[in-house]
Amino acid sequence: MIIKGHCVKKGTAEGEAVVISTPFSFVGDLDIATGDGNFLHELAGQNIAGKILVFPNGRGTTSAALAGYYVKLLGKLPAGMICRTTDPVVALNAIMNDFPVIDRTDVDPVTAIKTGDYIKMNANDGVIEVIPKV
Amino acid sequence: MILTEEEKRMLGGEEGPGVQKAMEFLVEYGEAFDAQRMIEVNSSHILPDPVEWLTNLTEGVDDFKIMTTLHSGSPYNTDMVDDLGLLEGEGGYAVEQNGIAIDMYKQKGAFLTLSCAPYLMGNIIKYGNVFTWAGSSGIIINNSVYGGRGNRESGVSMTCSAITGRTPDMLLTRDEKRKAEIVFNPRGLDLDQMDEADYGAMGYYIGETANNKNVAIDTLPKSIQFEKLKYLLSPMPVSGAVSMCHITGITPEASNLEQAIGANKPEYLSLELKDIKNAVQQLTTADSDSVDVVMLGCPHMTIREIKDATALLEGKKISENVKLWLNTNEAVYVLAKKMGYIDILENAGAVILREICIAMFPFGKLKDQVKNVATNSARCAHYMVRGGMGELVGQKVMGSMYGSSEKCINAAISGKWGE
Repeated sequence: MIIKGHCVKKGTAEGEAVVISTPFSFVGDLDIATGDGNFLHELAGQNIAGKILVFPNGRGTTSAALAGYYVKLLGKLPAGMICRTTDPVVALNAIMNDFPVIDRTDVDPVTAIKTGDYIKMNANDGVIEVIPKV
Repeated sequence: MILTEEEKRMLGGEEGPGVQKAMEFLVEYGEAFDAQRMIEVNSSHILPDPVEWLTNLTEGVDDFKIMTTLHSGSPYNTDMVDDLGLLEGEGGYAVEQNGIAIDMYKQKGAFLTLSCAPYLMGNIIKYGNVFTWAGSSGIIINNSVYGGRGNRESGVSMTCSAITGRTPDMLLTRDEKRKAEIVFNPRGLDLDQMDEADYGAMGYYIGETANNKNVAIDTLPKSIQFEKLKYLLSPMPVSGAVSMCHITGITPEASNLEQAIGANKPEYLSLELKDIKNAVQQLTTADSDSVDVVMLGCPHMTIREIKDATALLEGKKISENVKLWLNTNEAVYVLAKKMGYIDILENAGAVILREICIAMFPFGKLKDQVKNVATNSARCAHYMVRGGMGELVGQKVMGSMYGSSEKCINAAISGKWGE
């Protein structure tokens, strides 16, 4: 499946998808040292390091991009992100810490992509290739 | 993006390498949201950047162009480590970076407010001003109470604005993007009887329900105190990403509902007592009534809140088993000292914190083991029960009790959370 969307932060990435349907923040919803989801969030029990995180939109504190800087130093950043709509905090996290982000896709990414699908994203062209998990 | 001649000179490097990098960053940021132009910024408020970024961005920059203040941070960058019972020298790398950066910002003319409420210390937004601020509580208060215009910024964007005096003109800086998409009707609530924690729970519910949309509340008593608005608004960008809440008759650009919604066809929802009760339940996780820490001041306490706390504590002593922390900034502290409040509070056993963000407090670094924390702030409770950013920065998951400042202070005196 090919999904097309809008480039928020240029770059290319590939990896396994982790899909959540609730808003997400790097602060409060994530252990920044490990990349593990917080136990009170839908991401509980999952890890985002090296993955393509698919979520509706960001929430929470404006310190998230700074948290992202330390997540990057620790090597636990997601490889890329796909959102329904991006807010400035998510966009600034990506621009500052250099990982690709695509939003405003032609189909809803949160329902079209499943956790475990393999994703190849090219944010320069706004193209997402989804290889379903078998 | 269409840039002015001056902005083109900045981007071309004619005003030095730091200005160039800052403008490049802002252009990339603006393009992510299809911004058509830059807009001049009146005020900046910064959570200090990593030293590596700040060094690059300030290369060749003598002074910031606009009013610039700094955000609150870790107790390890204050002189309160001992008073708070924290383990010495356990601040960690991120806190060291923050301390170095604070000095660098001072060199460029930023005021060391070290507060999430810099509006209490002279960084004041006028109606129509454009701001780029750290701290989602200050952002929604500026948009909704003072009539300023600003987005939820993050990372280095605020420093880039302080250096260039610009931000992309998009989202909440634009008239058409500020109008309400959901209207909440609170007429079923007994608004005059609601304390600040009830208002905070209402804000927590609104944030979770509205997610990333602009909202309106139609309406609240015109006489409502600023402090209640502070606790109402500050959780909205925590449970959700709301940064614009029109309160009809109070928000400068929304003297009535028509002005708040503009051309939108909003959804209409009623606020009910059960919504507030559900939010309180989400913010209450302690598994016993035994209180270890009582923490007020997220966002930083105003002088009126300090006065109210003083009245409740005059001539009393808090329980030996409880730490009572009242969190504010240096300006409010100096005024409270002059009023005689600090002596009364300290005699009762309270510690007055300055320059600190209690929502991100490193509880894992306290000498005493603590489990349950009582607070009147929905924002603070949300982050505490999740353990903030994790153990790396000394945080840990806390049990929470949530209620008014009066209820919190009574718990500090008795050591037990009352029903």
